[in-house]
Amino acid sequence: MTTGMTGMTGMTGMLATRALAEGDWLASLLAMETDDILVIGLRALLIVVIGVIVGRVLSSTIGRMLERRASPQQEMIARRVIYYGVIVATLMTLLDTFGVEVGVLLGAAGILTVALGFASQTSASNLISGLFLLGEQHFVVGDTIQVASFSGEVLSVDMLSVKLRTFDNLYLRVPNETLIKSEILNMTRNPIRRIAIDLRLAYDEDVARVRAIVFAFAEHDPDVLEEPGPRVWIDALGESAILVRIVVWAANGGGWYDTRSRVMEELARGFREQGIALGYPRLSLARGREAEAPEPEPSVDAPRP
Amino acid sequence: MSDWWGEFEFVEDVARRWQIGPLTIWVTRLAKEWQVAWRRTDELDEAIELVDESEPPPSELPRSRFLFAEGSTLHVRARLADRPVVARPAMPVIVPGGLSATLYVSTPLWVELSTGKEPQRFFELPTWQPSSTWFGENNMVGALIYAERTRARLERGSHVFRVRATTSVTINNVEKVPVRIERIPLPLPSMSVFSDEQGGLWTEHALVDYVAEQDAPVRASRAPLPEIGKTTLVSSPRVLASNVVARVLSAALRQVMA
Repeated sequence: MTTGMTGMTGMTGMLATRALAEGDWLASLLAMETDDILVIGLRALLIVVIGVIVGRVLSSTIGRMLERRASPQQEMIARRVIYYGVIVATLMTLLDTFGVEVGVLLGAAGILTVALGFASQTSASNLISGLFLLGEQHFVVGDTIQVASFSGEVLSVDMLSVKLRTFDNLYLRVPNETLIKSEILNMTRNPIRRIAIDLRLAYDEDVARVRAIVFAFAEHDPDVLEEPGPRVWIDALGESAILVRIVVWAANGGGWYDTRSRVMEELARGFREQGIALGYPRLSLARGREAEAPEPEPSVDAPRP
Repeated sequence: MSDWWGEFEFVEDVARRWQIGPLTIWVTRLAKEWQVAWRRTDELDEAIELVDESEPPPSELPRSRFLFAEGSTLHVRARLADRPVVARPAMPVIVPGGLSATLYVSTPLWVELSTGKEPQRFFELPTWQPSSTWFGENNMVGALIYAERTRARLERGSHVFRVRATTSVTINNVEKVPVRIERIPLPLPSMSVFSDEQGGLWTEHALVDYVAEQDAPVRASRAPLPEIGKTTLVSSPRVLASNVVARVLSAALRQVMA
């Protein structure tokens, strides 16, 4: 019995000793003189300030070095890796100053990660999605993308979200998780882009005349590509019009919208000058006996769409 | 006829006019600044005119101001296109197997203005804006270049090209089957401009060896054809011959000749 009691006391003593060893840094910190705590505090502050400054200077220096040699996306990744690397090193130095053993902390980090994982599922999901986005490289910084109803230029791919500048110059944040789950249209990845114009042509109009106008314009306009060449084809024979599709190609990028607008403006002018008859929805009305009469029925043009 | 390129001394408050084919440029030197106005027609004009007497630009033309503290000398240079050009013969040309042919192709020139002790470029414009075109294996891989229609003359002819630069291209068909030439790609950014004794402008001679199933890159030699006579260098290449351009052009040419 006595032996058992002694054994239990010994075990409790051992546990207490381990607990003391693990919490030793805190106890020794609290046991210090006020002046010493002040010195450690100042040292910690200095480490944080120096760490942040070194991180920023180093990342921006590397970023500047890569500015001409790498793409904006690679430059951004290099900046982030260097900055966060320096911050982690600073934190470790800080813990070392307080007498915390980093190894013990890393052991505890496993449990902490699980706890944090449950607490911040969305953030973790965004973080992982961000890594996939960077790896997949469907878009890079500087590209113009369309996600759901929004489109804009990619400013940065961050840990939790992607920042866009919309065409209205608004700052848009899209969570990485949303991007991974949705269809993303990269509007600037390919160097050339098609301009498609749909036209409703009257049945008594000759499509060859339209083709001649389009081809003459395409040959004259330096921004409309010679190859792939312009095309004009009949898409469908509608109820009241021939549905014609006009396709020309232009360089993709900032000037594409200007080119598209000019193409439409010039073609509209050409069609007007050449008297091209456009097709409008028509509705024939018949009333009472007039409907039975052999005379042609009056036709009423519906208002222009 | 005097050359439209070279060095031109300006006194203050004097404007000069250059007509280089379809392009007309007015350059004015003011105290510490140069002003440039220009106009371009859609006509394939080959007229060249230099007006030395002060002639201010029409008031309706917008002017660009370039601020330079020093320098009264204007350097006017004739440069080749800033992108490769693909020349399309008006009618396809066929070279029989085992034979070679030399074609003459002309392309528009760019006008470059610079000033200062170490001339610094401040303005550049094509005398004629060529159409853009896509050159590549598909719509995703390739390069945006210029397209030009050419008559692909077989003789040098007596006409002196001053507004456009002429490139002589020898197509050597080493295969036994005829090759149909529909497009002639020219790596102009890596070529130079030379002037002959009549003031005509030329580039280096270009060579293409056509071998079936292989890349057929366009190689630029170091000088224009010897039969052109004595030539002087007017402007150097914009870029050194790049592998990228050569790859694009060779892939394209392979497609054309296949």
